[in-house]
Amino acid sequence: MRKFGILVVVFLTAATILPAKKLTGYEIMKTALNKGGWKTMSASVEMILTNASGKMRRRIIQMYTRKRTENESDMLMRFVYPADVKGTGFLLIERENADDLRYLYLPALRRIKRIASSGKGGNFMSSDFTYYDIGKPKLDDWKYKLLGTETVGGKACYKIECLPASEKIKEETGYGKIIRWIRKDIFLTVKSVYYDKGLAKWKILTVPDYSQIGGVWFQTDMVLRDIQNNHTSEMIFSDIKINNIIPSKFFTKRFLQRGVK
Amino acid sequence: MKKFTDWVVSNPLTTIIFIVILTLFFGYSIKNIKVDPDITSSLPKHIPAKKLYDKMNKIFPSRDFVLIAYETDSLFTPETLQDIFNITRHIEQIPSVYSVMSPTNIKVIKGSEEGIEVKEILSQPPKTTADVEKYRFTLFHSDLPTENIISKDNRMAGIMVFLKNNIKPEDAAKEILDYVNGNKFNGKIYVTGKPVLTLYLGRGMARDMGILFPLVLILIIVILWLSFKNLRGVLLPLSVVLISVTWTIGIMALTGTPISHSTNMLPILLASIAVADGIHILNHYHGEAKNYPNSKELIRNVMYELNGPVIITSVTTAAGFLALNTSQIGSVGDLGIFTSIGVIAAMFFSLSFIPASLALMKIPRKLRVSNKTGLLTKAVNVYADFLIKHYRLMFGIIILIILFSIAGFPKIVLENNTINNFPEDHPGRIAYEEINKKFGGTTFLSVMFEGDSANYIKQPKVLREMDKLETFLKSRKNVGSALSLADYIKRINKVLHAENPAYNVVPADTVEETGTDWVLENGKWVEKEIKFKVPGEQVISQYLQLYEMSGKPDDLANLVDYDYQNARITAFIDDESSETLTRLDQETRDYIKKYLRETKVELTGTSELFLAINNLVVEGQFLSIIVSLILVSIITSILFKSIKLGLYNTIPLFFAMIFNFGYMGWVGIDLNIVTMLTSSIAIGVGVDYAVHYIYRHRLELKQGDQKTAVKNTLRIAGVPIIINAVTVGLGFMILTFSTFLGVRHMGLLIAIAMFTSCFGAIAILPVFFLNLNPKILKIKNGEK
Repeated sequence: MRKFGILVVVFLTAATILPAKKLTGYEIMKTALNKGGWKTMSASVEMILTNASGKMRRRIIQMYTRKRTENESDMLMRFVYPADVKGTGFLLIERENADDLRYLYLPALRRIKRIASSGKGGNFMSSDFTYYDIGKPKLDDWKYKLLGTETVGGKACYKIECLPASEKIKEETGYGKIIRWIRKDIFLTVKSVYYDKGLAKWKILTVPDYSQIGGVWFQTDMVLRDIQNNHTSEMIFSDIKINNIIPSKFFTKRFLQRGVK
Repeated sequence: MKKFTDWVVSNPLTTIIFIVILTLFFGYSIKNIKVDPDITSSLPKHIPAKKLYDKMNKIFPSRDFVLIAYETDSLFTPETLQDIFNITRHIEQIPSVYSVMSPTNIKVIKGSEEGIEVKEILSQPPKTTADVEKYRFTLFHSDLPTENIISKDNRMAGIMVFLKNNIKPEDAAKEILDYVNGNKFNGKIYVTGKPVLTLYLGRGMARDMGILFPLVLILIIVILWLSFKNLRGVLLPLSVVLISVTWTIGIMALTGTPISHSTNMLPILLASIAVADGIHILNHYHGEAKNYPNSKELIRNVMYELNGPVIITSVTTAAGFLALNTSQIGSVGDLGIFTSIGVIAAMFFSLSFIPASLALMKIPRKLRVSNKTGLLTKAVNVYADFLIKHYRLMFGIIILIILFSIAGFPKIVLENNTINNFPEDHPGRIAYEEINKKFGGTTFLSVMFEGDSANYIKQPKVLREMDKLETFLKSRKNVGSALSLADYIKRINKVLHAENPAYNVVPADTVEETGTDWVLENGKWVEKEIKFKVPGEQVISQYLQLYEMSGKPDDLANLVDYDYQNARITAFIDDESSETLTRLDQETRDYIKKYLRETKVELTGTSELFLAINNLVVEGQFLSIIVSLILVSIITSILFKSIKLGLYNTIPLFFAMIFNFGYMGWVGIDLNIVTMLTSSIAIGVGVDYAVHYIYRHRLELKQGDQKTAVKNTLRIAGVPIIINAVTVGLGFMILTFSTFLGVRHMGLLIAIAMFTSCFGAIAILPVFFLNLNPKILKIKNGEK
């Protein structure tokens, strides 16, 4: 798995599942990615992109997402800010055995345009997050090794090395290795370091803020910094609601264009 | 001065130890010396062109690029494309590389019935001929800027490598060169671009340093041996040379002054100059040896007599070099300052180290005086007789030479491009010329569009003017290609409208569109075609968003800044000559003035830097000649206690200058950042001959008329003047073995200037005095 996606990652409280025996890397990740947390979620997302010279792009998006199957999720996003793209909608349908479907609705043209898939390693809305990063985490894409225990921000964390389970995953994601720090008590990733295919340090994820919503822990502020290109993407979540009823029609092209009408 | 000499002669060991310790210190400092071969980095920061250039480099992430060309008879074959694909992939991985644009990775914006696709043209190399054909079609039918990636004759593929701004471009160039040279490819590879030329410049400089400096030392050793035929005669002046060069480079290292294309010549210049005083002193020491009982007495008296001349000649020389500081070009000023320091240091060692050393030695039993002098003296006598007899004829000849030289002035070409500095068979020049002949070009002109707030660039009126100007630039001779954000907007507009060429434009201020909308009809939602109007700016914003959705964060970073406040057009130029750059600059400025209404733009880029250097060269040339003449006149006026006499000293210099520029014009040597150094150096060094001549002439005039004075002066002062001119001139001639044409020319020009200012002293001055018989030459009572 990779990053957890959108906020994503979750777990039940430690108490429910923690076995007494020593956990393996795989077990820790499995717990961390435990699917039980939520089926649907909506939130307001502020995305701040900062380039090497400190210039920023800021966007605010209303987001709806659902887990459709074990390894697939759908996502509908509508731009609220800035004004010149307000009303723009983006629909992402993850497909396990085919390219994802990505549609953009442009109000200026009143048309939906399909965006050809740039692969899972493609950048999500030209941020440092990739589609893979924000998609539904897939436990078996990676092989895990527990490296030990370290403290991050004063909290004890498992340090886990994730290596791509196959060449294909490596090619697709662009990651040759990921090191994650997962809080022992709540099984939430609070830091990750991503390495490129040549195993050079590439991106660092930090999680300045997280909170428990409806019994599920969410990373509510994620900062992903590309140290090779000196570019930073921050996603701040607010107004998170889980397991609210989001109708299936939300995740259709028709709804993308029509909106709430 | 006497006190100084006395102290040195009485404390020789202290003097020597003091100098040696300091020399070790400076020598050790040299390890920190920086090297900066880039000619444009010596532009002063406050020059508008440089300011703009620096500003642009803050806004856009990549400034320098390297162009790799792959030449083959069969470009569109799976094998070749595989090669190019591999090279592109490899170069992309180099950390100092910002981005790569090649025929195998260029991003194509493609449309389909229902959408748009932005992706690299190849995800893997084509395997079959059919794949290749498909690829080829896409490459040429997607509105791509192929001018710099496919050559005009379709025999070369170009890989444009954009470098990051925070690295040393020449290091990246080295990494790229090492890679392409270290691997076997089916085609022939050429590599060029400013970073590559800067790298070659640096290598040539290192080679020059490694070869020319030893050469000049060998030359000095030979001359010293011929002159003195003993070890001390060789070692003492040679030590002065080595110590003063060590100090000077050490001080450069300590002050953080880099070895540049100008200061690279310093050791050779300094060596040629620094040896002269030592020769004088030892000559005199040998000549007077008989008259003194021991070495200490001997050297003391020799120095009493020579302190003055050594100081005068050194100070005038230093003044000439200091005048180079009137140039605003940093590296030229550096050369001026540090050579001055070196000359004064050499003076100091000649006045201390040499007497101190000699004080410790015994007078050699056998002192030989070069018998060459005898021959030379005879020749000079013959010449003197001729001159006195035919001085009117000589006067005529001189006037003719001057007129002929002046006629050459208009032919002087001002040219500062880096490439002309390389010999024609240099691999760097061959690659440069080959690539610039076949591709869009490697010199660039940037037009910056500056907005007052974010999103300024997204306005249709701004993009339209950008597009207009870009189209204009592309229509100019020598502009091979151009890139701007407007190209992307036009392409997206076209792709989203079914590749309809009518949409290959920047959207209007208000766009009329057809789209669909959902309407409630009889209780059912149906999709209906509708017509509507929408602001062009919104359309453009959403096009950009569409592009961003499939792109990387920095995809457009070289065209527009992150918040769409500033953008640039980059036009590639296939010729670096001042003529072309001046013309393009003028045409572009005229066009902007006439046709751009909405936008504020500024010109920058390497082309503007070269032009700025040109202007500084002209300006600096003028000023440095005047300042060096003034400085030298002041010094000689003080020396002769007469402004008029002081000015007489400049007569041979004027002649040397006029001849110098005439020669440049007639022979076709460009005036540039290197050859501009010639005049001031020649003035500073060449004035010595006039000083020697006039000094002696006045002494001789006490005893006879002008004719006798001329004859005697030529006999006594003429020979040392000629020997000195030949020695120093030969030293400078070493520069003609340089890798670089500019340095070769400069070496030749200064050597010629040595000979012409020598000629000025021993021909023009006598002819002038014989013709005019100026009274001021007479030494008044009371004058020493």
